[in-house]
Amino acid sequence: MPRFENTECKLVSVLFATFGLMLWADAAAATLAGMVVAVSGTCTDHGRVLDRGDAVQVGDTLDVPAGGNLKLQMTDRSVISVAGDSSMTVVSYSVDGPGRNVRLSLTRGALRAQVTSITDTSTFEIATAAGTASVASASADWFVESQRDAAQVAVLTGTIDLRSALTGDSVSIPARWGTLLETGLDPVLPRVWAQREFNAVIRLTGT
Amino acid sequence: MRLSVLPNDPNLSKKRWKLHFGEAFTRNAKTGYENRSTRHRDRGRCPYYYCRIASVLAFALAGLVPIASNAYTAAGDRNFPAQLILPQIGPTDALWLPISTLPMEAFKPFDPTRQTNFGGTYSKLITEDLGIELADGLIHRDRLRASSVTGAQNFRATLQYEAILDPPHEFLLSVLLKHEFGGTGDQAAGSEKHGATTPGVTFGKGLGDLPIGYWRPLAITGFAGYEFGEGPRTNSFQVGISIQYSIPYLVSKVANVNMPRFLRGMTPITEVFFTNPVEHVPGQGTNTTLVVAPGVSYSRGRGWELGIEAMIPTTRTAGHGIGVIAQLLVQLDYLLPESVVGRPIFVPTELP
Repeated sequence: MPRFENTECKLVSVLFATFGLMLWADAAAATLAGMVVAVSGTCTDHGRVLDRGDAVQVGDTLDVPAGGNLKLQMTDRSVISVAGDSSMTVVSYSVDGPGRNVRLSLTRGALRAQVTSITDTSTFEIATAAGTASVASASADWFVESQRDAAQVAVLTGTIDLRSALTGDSVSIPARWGTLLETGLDPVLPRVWAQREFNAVIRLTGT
Repeated sequence: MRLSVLPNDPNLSKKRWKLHFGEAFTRNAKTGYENRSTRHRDRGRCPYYYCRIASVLAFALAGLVPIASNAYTAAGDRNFPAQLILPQIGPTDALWLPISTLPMEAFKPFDPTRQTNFGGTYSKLITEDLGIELADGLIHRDRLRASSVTGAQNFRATLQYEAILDPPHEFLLSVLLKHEFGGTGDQAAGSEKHGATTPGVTFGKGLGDLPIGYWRPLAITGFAGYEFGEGPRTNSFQVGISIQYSIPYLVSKVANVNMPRFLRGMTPITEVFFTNPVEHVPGQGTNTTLVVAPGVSYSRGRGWELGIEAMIPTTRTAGHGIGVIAQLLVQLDYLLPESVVGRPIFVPTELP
């Protein structure tokens, strides 16, 4: 019997240690991606209501209600402005010294990404159901809108590559241009966007 | 568009006619005059004034080619490719370089047997809806029983305003005013001494908004204008239409069709151009030309576009052989989007 108690005690200790390690690992994995600098409406992160100054971490899914807006200052000083009725997940946001590896997922809605220039290699992608848009220039100021069966990209400054998830075909979108990508198809050839079109998405993202 | 007028005098006597044209024409007692041109055609059934009209129209057709200037324009998700024969359907920031060659029928020494044009047009947006085009180029003429000659074309300028843009219906309409500055080119090479002004209207309509399945990539563009010649230069009524099937539209808006990558940038296009010159000489009436230009345009949305078309005269007076026109379009608004070269001079206020 005493031998059994000793074994039980050890087992409980091991369980506690394992649980503690898991908590530590989880805390370590919750990499800081950015911070909320402006919020309008009841924006949530996995159900938690966001306030100005709250941290946003890798893995967070941010929901912005219709009529609301959310503005994030990221760790690389890039600014993400999420429009109302949108849902965005921070899949990865790694800024290691001079390099950067960012992947966001926009399930629905629209956002504006004002991406800063960094000195080393950079990957900055926003994935939608139709395809993935990535920054192809040092810096960029651009918009992505994820609709039910399509994604739309417009670029104020910089260059964005838009690749179809199914066909793999891509187009490069320069500043002042934009295009549409329907699910399962090639991207539409880019075209010049009128200033009034940009003004509409600027209003949409509240910036 | 330019319409050349040969320095022929319809009141020229037969004696002076023979002296003027020398050995190129010999008298045919049965049918009149016979042409010994390089084309070896029987001119005997061609009365003098018909020959003259044919010459005028052949020059007119040749004159259309380098001046026709087109660019990349879009309405909604519809990208209209650059046209090679018809004027552009909307203003843009672009540079395009057409090269064309067209066999011509010579009637006398020094008449061209082939005309090759090297053109260049710079198009600049003043505002998002208003643009100006500046065009010039070179003419090279191979001539009958004479050495070839090369000279400058007349300088042309076009002001174009996009009056209607309806993206959901893939429709746009522009009005334009074009002026050719007479005497700015080499008259020895065929440039006109007198200028001309052409008001006109252009439009483009994609059928993507219609429930017609695989026909949705179809689009139609058109042009109508009236050229007012200065001085003795002939006036003319001009109408053109193009029908195009955009494979880029097919694979991006209609269906994921499995085809080679290079085919995904192709747009088969056929342009048709009709002119109806108005002769000022009493008794000659009017005559028409109709040229059909089937070809293909290639673009992958990378800031350039290449087009090539055959030029097929379909009326007797429109020409005497199949010509070819090719054009490289450089989209300055794509390649230099953030410079003054690639964006309108006056841009509406940007929101903060």
